[in-house]
Amino acid sequence: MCQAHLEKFDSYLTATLSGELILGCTSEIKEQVKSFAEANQQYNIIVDLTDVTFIDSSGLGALIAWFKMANQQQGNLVFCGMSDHVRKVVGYAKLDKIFTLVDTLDEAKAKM
Amino acid sequence: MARNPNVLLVDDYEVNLELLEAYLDLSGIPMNIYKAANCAEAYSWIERVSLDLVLLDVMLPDGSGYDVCRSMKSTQQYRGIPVIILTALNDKQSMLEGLKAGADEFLTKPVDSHELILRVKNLLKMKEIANDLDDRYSQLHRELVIATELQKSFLPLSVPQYDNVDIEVLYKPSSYIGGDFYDFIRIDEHHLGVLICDVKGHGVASAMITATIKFQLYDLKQYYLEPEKLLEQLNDRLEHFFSSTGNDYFVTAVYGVLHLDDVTFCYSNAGHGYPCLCSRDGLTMLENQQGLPLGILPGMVYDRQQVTLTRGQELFLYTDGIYEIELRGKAARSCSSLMDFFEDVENPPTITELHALQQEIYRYTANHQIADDINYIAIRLNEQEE
Repeated sequence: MCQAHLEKFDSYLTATLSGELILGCTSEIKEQVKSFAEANQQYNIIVDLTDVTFIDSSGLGALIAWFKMANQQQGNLVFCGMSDHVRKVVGYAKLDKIFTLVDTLDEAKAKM
Repeated sequence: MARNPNVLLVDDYEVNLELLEAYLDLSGIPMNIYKAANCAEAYSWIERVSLDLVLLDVMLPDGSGYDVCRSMKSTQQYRGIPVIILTALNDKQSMLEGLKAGADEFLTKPVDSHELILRVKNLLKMKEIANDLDDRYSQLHRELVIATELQKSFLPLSVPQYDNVDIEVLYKPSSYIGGDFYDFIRIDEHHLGVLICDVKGHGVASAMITATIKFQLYDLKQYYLEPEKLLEQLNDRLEHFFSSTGNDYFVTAVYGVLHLDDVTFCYSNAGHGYPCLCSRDGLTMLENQQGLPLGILPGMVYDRQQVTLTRGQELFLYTDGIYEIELRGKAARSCSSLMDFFEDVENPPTITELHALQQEIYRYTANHQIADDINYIAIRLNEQEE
């Protein structure tokens, strides 16, 4: 199971995810975050992955989808709080070359 | 409803059946009416006709209408048929009995024609929607079956055989169409192209993407000997395909050329699990620096690596389905790299360990339903030849 908690701030949105980002629950979360951004017309987004315990390729797909959306809309997408596991999986796919990754939420906010 | 609804009336009094039929006639809904005077006749119609509604009297000469209802509602094939119980007993007890049997509606006798018509109309409407959903589900299911077959048809018919090289393949598709795909391209007698990839996405779409990859591979002949160029081309074409169809898929892949004369594998990696080179002395993950998965951004660059197999060494290519199963007492999804499977092994893990792991994967897939496709390709020198 995975969940997304979405919040709107003045100049950015946060999506705080928790649980296992895997096939079966990812597509719903993917759409939730996308619709939230579209509804608010705000593509500066912090995705907080601190409480994500596992990620598979569907989960990676969601991260990529948000990255592509933000890119197309000239937004700024920052990931924070990746566990060692998540960082490894993202690293194997070389996505760390294109994603903006920081350790903490505060660092992410500083980038907004 | 594409056809007229089939309605079964069950009552042991002929006059009641005629009255019900006359009322239904008043509803103006064209329908086919079937009549039964007892449970046995009712069961017989239920089995023979695809019914859309049953009006069921409770007291029948050979049993109770509740039993007929209960039996229908506990059978997968008939549970969706709405049942109206007709009862002369206007008391709570018989209502509860009917509810327990799974009845959808109740009418007390003498039946009020307006009430009957309204309830029948409502239930037939519901059944029509259910039938429609069933039809769509069956169609989807048929399409999935076709897509699965299509997916299988893209796989190589045979594993190439050579005097000096052994190639072993395991391919286990999950029950739900996944996106693992591999291919061998017999470029010429000295070169074999090897592709292993994982389309991120499931269902009919992933089968279509596999078809696209197969077609593009065929079209990229001039790059067969240049793995990085082939992946760069494939990346641009897939990126164009994905962005023009507005979806978020991506593909991880390793493409390499096996030079058969000196058994050298030249390859490039697009975000795929690192190939593993294994010998009696140890196991090395062949990391690459460049290489995003295919189809995310245009204009990506891939680097080329090469490894020469010597006696006793094995090259192991695989997809990430192995992380989804429980292996070596490690919970499914607790590993994110092939190396994680060897954590508890005496250092360093060797080819014996790799073969043990392959055996475990093989045994697991032979005995379990799997959530994701599992695919590996092992390439080694033919020991007898040396």
